[in-house]
Amino acid sequence: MSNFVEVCAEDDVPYLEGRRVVINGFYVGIFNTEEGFYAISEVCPHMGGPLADGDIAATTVSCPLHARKIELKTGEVQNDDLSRVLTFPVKVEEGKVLVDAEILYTQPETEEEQEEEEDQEAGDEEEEAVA
Amino acid sequence: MGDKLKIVVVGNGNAGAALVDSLLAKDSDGIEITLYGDEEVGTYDRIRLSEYMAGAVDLDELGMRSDDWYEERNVTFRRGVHLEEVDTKEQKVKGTDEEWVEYDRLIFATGSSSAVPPIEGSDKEGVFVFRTVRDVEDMLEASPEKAVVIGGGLLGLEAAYGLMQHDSEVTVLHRSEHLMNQQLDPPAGRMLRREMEKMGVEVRVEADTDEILGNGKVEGVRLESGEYLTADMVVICTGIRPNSQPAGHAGIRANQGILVNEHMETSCPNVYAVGECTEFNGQLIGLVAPALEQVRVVVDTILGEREATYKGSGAATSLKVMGVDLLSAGDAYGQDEGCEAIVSANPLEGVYRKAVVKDGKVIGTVLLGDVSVGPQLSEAVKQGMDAEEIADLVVGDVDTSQIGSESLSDEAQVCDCNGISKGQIVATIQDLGLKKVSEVVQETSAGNSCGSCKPLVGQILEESADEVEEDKNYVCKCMELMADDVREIVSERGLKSVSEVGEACGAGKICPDCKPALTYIVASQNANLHKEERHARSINDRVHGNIQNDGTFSIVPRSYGGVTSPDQLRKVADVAEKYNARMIKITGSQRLDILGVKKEDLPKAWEDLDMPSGFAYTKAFRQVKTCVGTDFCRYGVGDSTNLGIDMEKAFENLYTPAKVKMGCSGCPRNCAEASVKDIGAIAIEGGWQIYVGGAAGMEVRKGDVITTVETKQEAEDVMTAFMQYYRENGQPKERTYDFVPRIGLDNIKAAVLDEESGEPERLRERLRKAKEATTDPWLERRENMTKNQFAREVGRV
Repeated sequence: MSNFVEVCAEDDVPYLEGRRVVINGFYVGIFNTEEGFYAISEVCPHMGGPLADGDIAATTVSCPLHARKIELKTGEVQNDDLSRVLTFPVKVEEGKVLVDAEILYTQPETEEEQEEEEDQEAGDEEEEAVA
Repeated sequence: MGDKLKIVVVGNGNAGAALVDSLLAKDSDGIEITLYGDEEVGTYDRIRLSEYMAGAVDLDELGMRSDDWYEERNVTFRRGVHLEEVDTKEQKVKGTDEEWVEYDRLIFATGSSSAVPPIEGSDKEGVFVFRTVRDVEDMLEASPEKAVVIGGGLLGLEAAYGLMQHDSEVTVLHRSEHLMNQQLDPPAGRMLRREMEKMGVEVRVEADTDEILGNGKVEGVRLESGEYLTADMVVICTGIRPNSQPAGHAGIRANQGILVNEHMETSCPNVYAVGECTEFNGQLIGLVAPALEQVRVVVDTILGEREATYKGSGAATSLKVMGVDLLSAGDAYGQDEGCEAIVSANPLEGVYRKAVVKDGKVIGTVLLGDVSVGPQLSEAVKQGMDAEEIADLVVGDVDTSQIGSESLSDEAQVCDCNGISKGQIVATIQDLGLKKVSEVVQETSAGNSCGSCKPLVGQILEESADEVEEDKNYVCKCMELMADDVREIVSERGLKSVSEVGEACGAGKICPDCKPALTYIVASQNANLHKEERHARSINDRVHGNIQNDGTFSIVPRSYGGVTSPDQLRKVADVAEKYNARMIKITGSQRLDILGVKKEDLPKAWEDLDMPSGFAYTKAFRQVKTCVGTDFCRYGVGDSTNLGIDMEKAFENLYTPAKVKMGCSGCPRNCAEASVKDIGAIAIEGGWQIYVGGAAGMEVRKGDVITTVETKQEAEDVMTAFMQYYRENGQPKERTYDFVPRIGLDNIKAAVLDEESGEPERLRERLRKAKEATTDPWLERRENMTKNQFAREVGRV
């Protein structure tokens, strides 16, 4: 069962860079790599760095805070013992980036989702600060 | 599950962590570990505490472990739970979480606490003990102006060092007549004191503290001599006391520490103890190496043959105290009858070597300032070698490169921090076919704490590996390319962008680590007429601010030569308020830093400021620190303010291999600290002295005087030529303090001073050309360089 939603335009994310989108309150990073688009949770599992501000090569992104390197295909952190980052199926159609983020709309059951939930709370607080 | 051996480990310091590691390594399937740790943080490397304090490492690098780490290894970690009760009959324990846990084997690794002597007033606010991460954090939080450290042993000196690094004025009070009297003899202790005083720490010996004074809060310390020292912080580091509770309460025999035999067994069946909480033959231990030896023994006792035995700590103490290397092993004093000493001392260089000899055999050693012969001498103490064999090492002109590691036995300890022997290193090198020092450090842990044994590790590698490869300073580690390789590729093929470099040689295609360095090379080789690709810059250079730990950015506008105006100050204040900056900080380089601005607010903030970028976020020319020179100062002999402002305008917007800071002082009093800047000018009667390669940061190096010139124009010319020479020849990330010694001052002089050759003028011409192609990056507020360059997010559903 898939549930792709449109999150941004293809050209919203420059080549070999990342940008943040917000899906149901969760931060998701959209990355435009030489192997196409990827979408993963945007919060670094190390110290919460904004992964969309990271550096990209091949299909990895390095966190801008402490250079934890994450494989975009699997969400694995390559240079630390940290839990895997949540990844989402993504496709590009007619210049639009679509993400299947079904999991972000379901009730948290697993630990990873619980972590996401915490991320969401953090995100909400930040929004309040802006407002 | 039920068949597994239930092991409970109490304590998660160095010993506890090593114990868990060793147990898992020995038999991870047959055991079930529960770990109690009463500090909130996980395991960490306590020997690096003072580095953490000095800001050199963050908590993560202290080796803290995540909950996942424990979970993946099936270790139940009761974080923050203090053990309260032990029932040795029923073989179960209970912690502050009120849960009873059964054990088959119980191991105490509860470590030690600071022994706080009964000094009156030690309960006042502002009195600290230096022992745990919590202590360090509290201490740094308080950031005292004047701190008094009670105790001039190892811990005390480490605390003093950390506080000094945080700009506190520090006085160390020590009861004995010389520092570190446990490990050092009087001459070495006195020499250490001089070295410390050189670094700006005041040391009082034979100083007994009478009372800590203050009305609720620390205000000062009174010595028994009646002398009074003001202080807003007192740190007590007067030794350690083993944590023998709650073992003691449960009837397990304890004296000062928990009593253990040579198998690390306590008086109670199936209960063991290791590390600083133990007492063996009346001996307490305060170092990592013997604790690790005990861990090895207890693992063998529980899971192995019960053959290994602990023989007491004869191990050497090898430390770096405030940057000074020292080593002590065996009898450092040699005061017994029949003892003689072989000594060589050079107080000018702070080097001291001593071997204590009894009946012709080496029984002790002290080394200070130069510990290159440490492994040989501590081995000599351990084996009781003939004095003749090592006499030359103590008194001779020791050429350390000539000392082989052949003379060391396999048991000889090479890394004292992690307790790694030569034999272990050799075996790892041969088993895994290692070729590089960095690989050996990674695989064995030898040399990854204080690093002082790395040269010896290198020698062992030379001897035992079939083939040795140098650890090269690669720009691109994936493709093993040096900076000069990339420069050559770029200029030979006329490459204009990082992508083209990637196509040509693969650099920056596999991992992004080298892309900013590649950008620098491509830009500088093309005099900034390259094709700019923002994906090849880090976030700081994509949005021209310094990313902070919460994802916000800092803004440092340029104030040329550190001179500002009421108008600028007003704007800075307005911007800070309008965009809810978390702090305005006056930086060390005479600038204002507006911290905590959101990415999406940066363009608006720059527009409001209408000042150029200060480049405080990247590897580029930063700024010129100046004094008020002849305009105001009654001592000024040169117009340093004017020179500084002109240089800042000449160099602004230029990227460099690593950051470049400058200083211009108007007289030899040198208030702008020009001699410890990458490039500096100091006015003297009749001219300017030009310094290069100075630093006062992570490294401290006094710059070299490259020349003395008569006019301001000449000063500008020399500094400009040097700047471009460094821009063209520096390795990415190589500061001038490494660059100048690497190239050699004479070679640099030849390149930048010989005006007749025309080369200095060509250097200056190339710098001017590169400068012409630059602009203030903050103008991108009006015309973004990439789509959504400063966007907080690009979509929301």
